Amino acid sequence: MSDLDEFKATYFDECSELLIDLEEQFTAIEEGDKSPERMNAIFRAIHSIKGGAGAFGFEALVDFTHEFETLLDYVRNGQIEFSDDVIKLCIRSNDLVADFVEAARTGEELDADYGAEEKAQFVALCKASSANVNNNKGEEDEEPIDEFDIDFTPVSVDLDKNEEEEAGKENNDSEEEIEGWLVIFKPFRDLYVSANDPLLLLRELSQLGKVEIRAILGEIPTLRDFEPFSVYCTWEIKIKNNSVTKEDILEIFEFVDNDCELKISPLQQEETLANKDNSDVNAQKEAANKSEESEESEESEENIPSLAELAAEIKPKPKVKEKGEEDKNKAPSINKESSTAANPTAKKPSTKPPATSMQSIRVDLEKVDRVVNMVGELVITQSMLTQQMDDYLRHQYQELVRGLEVLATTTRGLQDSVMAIRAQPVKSVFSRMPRLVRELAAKTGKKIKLDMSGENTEIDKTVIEQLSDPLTHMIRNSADHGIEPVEVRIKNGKPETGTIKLSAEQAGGSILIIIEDDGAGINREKVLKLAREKGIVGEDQQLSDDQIDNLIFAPGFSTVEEVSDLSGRGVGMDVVLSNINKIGGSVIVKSSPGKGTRMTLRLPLTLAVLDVMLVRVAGSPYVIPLSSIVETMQCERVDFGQLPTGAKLLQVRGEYVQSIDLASYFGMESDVKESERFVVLCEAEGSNKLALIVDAIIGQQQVVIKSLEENFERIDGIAGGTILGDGSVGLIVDIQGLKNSMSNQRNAAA
Amino acid sequence: MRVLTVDDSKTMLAMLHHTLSNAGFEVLQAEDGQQGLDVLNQEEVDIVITDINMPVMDGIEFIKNVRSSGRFQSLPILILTTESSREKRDQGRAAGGTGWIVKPFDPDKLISVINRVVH
Repeated sequence: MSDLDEFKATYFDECSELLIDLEEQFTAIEEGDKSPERMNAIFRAIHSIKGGAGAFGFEALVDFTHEFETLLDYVRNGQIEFSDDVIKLCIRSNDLVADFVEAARTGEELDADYGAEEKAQFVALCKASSANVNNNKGEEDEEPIDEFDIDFTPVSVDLDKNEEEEAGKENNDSEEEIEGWLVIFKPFRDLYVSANDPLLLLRELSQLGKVEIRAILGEIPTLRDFEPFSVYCTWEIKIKNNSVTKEDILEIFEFVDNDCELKISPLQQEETLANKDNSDVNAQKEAANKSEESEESEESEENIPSLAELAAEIKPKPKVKEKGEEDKNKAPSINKESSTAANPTAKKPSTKPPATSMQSIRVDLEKVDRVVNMVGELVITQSMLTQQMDDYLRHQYQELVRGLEVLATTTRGLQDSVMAIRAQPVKSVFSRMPRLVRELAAKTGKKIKLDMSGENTEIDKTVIEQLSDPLTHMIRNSADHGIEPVEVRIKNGKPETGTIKLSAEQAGGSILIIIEDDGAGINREKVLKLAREKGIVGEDQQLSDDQIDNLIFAPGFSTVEEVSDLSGRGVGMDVVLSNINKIGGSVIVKSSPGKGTRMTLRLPLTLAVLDVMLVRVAGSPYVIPLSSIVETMQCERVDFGQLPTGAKLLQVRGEYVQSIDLASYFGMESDVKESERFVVLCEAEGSNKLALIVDAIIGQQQVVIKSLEENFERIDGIAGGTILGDGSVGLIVDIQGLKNSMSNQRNAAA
Repeated sequence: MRVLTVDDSKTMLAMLHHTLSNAGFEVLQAEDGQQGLDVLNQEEVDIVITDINMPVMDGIEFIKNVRSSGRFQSLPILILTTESSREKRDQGRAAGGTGWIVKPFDPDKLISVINRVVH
C-alpha cells in the first residue's frame, strides 16, 4: 500500500466515524437538543471531512462540504435560525455528504449536479442572512477583525501605497539593472508575543543571497524602561542578488506583515538610505557605534553569526532582573545561543520517553489479526506443553512445572488483551437505528419510539461489521409487522406510540442483543398456516408456540403477502438467521400475542477463539462450543425412548429431546459400552434442544477456530476444526447443522 | 527537533506525522487543545502545529493558554487553516500564533515554514 493509499484508508475510516457521529448529533437535534456543543461538533465533523477531501483532491466532496460548512457556521453563530426546515436540509445534506464520501471511496462518478439543489439552498440562506445583518447593523460591521487585535497602537504601514510606488519604480527601472533589494524592517514592539523572532527572518533572508544587514538601535531605551520582551531594533537589509523577486521577500515576512513596518525597494548601485537613517542613530552614540562595528564584520562571509552576537548582546539585558523578572525569562536567550548554528532539521538526542498523551493509535486490522493468530498458536503450544507433563516429569522438575503455570496464566492474559484490541462498542451499529426507526415511522404512519441501552457494550469488530444488516432487518420487521397502526393501538388500549427497545449486554462469553417491541406479537395461526402451505411444516405436525414463533426464520418463509417498501427487499428473516449463524451467533424469538415480540441475538464475544468442551467419539477428539451446551449427563442415568422410525428420544425433566449418536452419525463404531457413555445436551437456535451421545468427556478449553473449508473441505455437521494441545485435529460439532439435518431426515421420512 | 501536532482529524495527524518524520522531526500528537497542553506540560517541544476547530478546547483557546504560561512565550505555534478561513487565522494570530499553514499543505512548504520559525 502506498503512503497515499494508507492516508486515504485512514481518511475513509475517519469519515465513517464522523458520519456516525453526525448521525447521532442530528438525531439529538431533531429531538430538540440544539445546544451549541452539538452545533460545534457537527461543524467540526463536516470541517474535518472537507479538510481531508481537500488533501486528496476529492473536489465534488470539497465543494459540497464547503458550502455546507458555511451554512453550519452561520447557524452556529446564530445568523441563521435553526428552524425545522433548516434541520431537514441539514439532515438531507448529511446523507449527501455520505454519498459523496462513498463516491470518493469507490471512485464512482456522481452526476455533476448531484447535491446542486441543496448547495443552492445553502448559498441562498447564507446570502439572505448576510443581507439581513447588513441592513440591521451595517455600522458595527465595519471592522470585524479589530476586536481580535491586541492592544498595540496600530502604526499605519501603507503597504498598498508602497507597492504602488514600487510598481512605478519597477517600470521605470525595468531597463536598468537591479542589483538586489533593500529591505527596511521595523518590527512593532510586541513582535515576540507571537514567538516570531527577527533573527530567524534575517537568517531566512540571508538564504536568498549575499546580504548586508545593519541594525539601527536608536530606539533602545535606557535600562529602566527596557522591556525584555519588546523589540526596539530596526533592520536594514541589502540583498545582493538580482534573481530574487519581491514576492520571495514578502513570503518570508508573511507571518509578521501586520506586526511591522516593512519597506522593500530595489537596490541600485550605492544607496544613500543608510546615511539618511544614520541620523536616527544620533540619540545613542554608543549603540550606533556597535552597529557600525557589526556592519564591518558583516562584510565577511559570516554575517549571520555576527548578527546573532549582536542580538545576544542586546537580549541578555533582562538577566539584570529588573522589575522582578523571574528566571524563566532567560529561557529564550539561552535557547538561541544553543541552537542558532544548529541545523534545524537535526534530531536532538532525545533521552525522554515518547509522549504519553496519545490515547489511541490506528492499526491496520490485518496486523492485529496476525497478532491474534500468533497468540492463538501460542495458546495451543502452551496447552501442548502442559499436556506433555506426565507425573514423572512433574515430580522431577518442579521449577519447570511452576514456570509452565505462570506461562499458562500469562498466555491467557495475553489472549484476553489481544481480543480486547479487536473489541468495539456496538454503538457504531446502534447509532444508525434511531434514524431508521424515524424513517419507518414516517413511511408507515405509525408512531414509534426507540429506546436504546448498553450501546457501550464491546464486541469483536468482525461481529460488529456483520451485525448491521441483520439488526436493520429485525428492526424493520418490528416496525413493519410488530407495532400496530395508531388506531389499532388505541382500540386495544395501548399507548399511541409503540416502543422498540434495543439493548446490548454481556452475558458470560456471549453478547446478547435484544430487540423488543410492544406490538401485536407474532400471528401464530397465520404463520403456521403459511408454513404448512409452503411445505416447511408437515400437515399433521404439531408444533409448540415457541417453535411456531421461530418459524419466521425458516428458509423460504415470509409472511408479507405483498412485498412492502420496508421489510421487502427480497430478504427474509432466514437470511438474518444465516448471517447471524455465520458469525457464530443465534437468534431466539419469544412472542406473546397482543403484547409484543422479543428477539434475542446471542453473539460470541470474539470470533477467533472459542470456549469448548472436548469430547471423545470413537477414539477421536471432537469439540462442542460451550455456549451451546446446556448440561451433560451419564447415559446410565437417563431414559431413552424410541420412536417407530428408530430415532432415539431422550427424556429430560418431562421434555422429549431428539438425540444423535455422534459415532454412528459420522459413520464410525463406538467401542464404549452404552451405559458408560455420556449425553451432552445442547441448545440449537430457537431453543430447540438436541442431545449428543459421546464416548467420553475430556474437559474444557479454549481453541482457535480454523476453517475446514479453507484447509480441507466442507463436512455436514462440522463447523470447523482446531488444533489441539497434542497437535491432533479436533473437529468442531455444528449443532445447528446437525439439528437441520435431523429435521430434513424427518421430513424426508414423513 | 520535536514537533507537537494537535488536530482532531486523524487523517491530518497521520499526514503531518508522515511528512514531519520523513523530514527527521520527532512527532508528538494530541487530539485537542487540552491534550496538547498536557503534552506540553510533560514534554519538551520545539514547535507546535495546531488545528483551530477542535472539540474540548479549540485551537484559539489552546494558543491563549500556551502563551499565558511564561514558559512557552517563545514557543513557535503554527496554525493549520484553510484557504477560506482567514478570519480564524487572524484570530489565531492575535491569540499568539506565530504563523500558519494552509490546508491541504504542501510538504516542502510545511518544512520550510517550520524552519522559518524555529531556531
